[in-house]
Amino acid sequence: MRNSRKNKVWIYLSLIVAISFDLFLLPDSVISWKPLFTLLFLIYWNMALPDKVGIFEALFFGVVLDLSTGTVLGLHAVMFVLITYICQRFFYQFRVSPIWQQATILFFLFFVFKQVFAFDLYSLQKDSLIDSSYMLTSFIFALSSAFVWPLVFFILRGYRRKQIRY
Amino acid sequence: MLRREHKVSNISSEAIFAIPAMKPGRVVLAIVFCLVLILSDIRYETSKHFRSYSHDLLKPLYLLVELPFQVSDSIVDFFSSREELSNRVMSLEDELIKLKTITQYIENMSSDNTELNSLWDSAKFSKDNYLIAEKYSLSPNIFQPSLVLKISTQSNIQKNDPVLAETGLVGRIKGIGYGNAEVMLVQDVRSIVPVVSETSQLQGTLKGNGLGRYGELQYVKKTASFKEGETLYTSGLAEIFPKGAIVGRIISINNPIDSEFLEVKVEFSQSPSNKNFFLIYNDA
Repeated sequence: MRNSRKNKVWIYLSLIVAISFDLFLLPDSVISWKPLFTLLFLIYWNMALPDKVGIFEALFFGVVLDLSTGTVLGLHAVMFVLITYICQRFFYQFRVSPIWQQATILFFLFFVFKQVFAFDLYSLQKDSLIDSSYMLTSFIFALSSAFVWPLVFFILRGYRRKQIRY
Repeated sequence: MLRREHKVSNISSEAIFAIPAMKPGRVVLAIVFCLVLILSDIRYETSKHFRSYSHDLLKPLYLLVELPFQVSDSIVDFFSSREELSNRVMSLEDELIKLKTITQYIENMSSDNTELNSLWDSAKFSKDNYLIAEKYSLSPNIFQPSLVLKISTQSNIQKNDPVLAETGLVGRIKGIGYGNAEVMLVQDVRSIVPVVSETSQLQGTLKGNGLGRYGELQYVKKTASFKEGETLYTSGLAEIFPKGAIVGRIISINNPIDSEFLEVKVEFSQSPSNKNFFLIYNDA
């Protein structure tokens, strides 16, 4: 098998692990604010190897997450594509910034990401369900994702250095 | 690193790492594709035909995550001493005797009061119609949470079958896969349950507002005499949910000036996050 194909397999494997984290690993009591590992992993790979991870991966894993979490089909996918694009567009600036700055940027990104899911797309009025409790939940979700980012970053960096061959 | 993947310096023959960004045209195309998916799902519910089967595809992942826990459990079981086990059997036998005594007492009481017993039987549902199902996963989606239950492939569960827990109504079956069933919870923003209040006996429709949030009784006229603390039961009007299952409790009643309806907040009687087993009611 060629190196580039092997690399893809390792990257996909890590994203599959991220999806299983999101769906099964953490207890349901923390369900509303547990970090979204699939997106964190996707951001890392976009930042580290932007030539190997792109729109297709964002679309595919977004749709898988939509199907498995009961969200409107395409909602995770569109958000993943947008975030992937932002990451790739600004990855030169992002990858050289200190880890705490990266975490801060991700905090805002995840906060906005969570707000999108509060739109009641099924209702005729297209109401927003954002209220103070949801803002707090979004804040904690974004904070937990930002806190987890350094851990994800260093684990995936180790994984990349070990498994990905050029 | 392949030469075609990165620009390579002609001086040092090392990668400059100048990777072109995603082509905006592709991004726009992907976004349009996603929007088509979203609109078709909202308008025609296109995903409902294959959504449940996607859980079957994810089953190996679930088993993979469960594997370490199962292995650790079996190791603990293996090393627990014989004495420990015999003590446990003894205590369970004691408990069984107690339970038998209690059951006998209840049987005596119910035989003494046949009229009450028959009334009870008519109000509740036949035990044969219940099917126990274990939780498979609960999605981390606050507004459209979906609970996935493991079911046997031989079970004759159908769409819209109600799902209950010991504390009340949980939701209804939304989709059925090969070995799982997806449940739309009563907390889902798309869920509407016809209810009746316990003391005032008023009818209403209860709309979900998301997991961990209060539900809301819809279109309640300002003259309605709901009381705070009242328990709400399913009224059985839509013929989806059986009559008489507990749904929740009225938490607050507000009278907004700018609306012609009362704002009635309801706390749901159960949350699927801290339960592992559920009952599926099949009336077929």
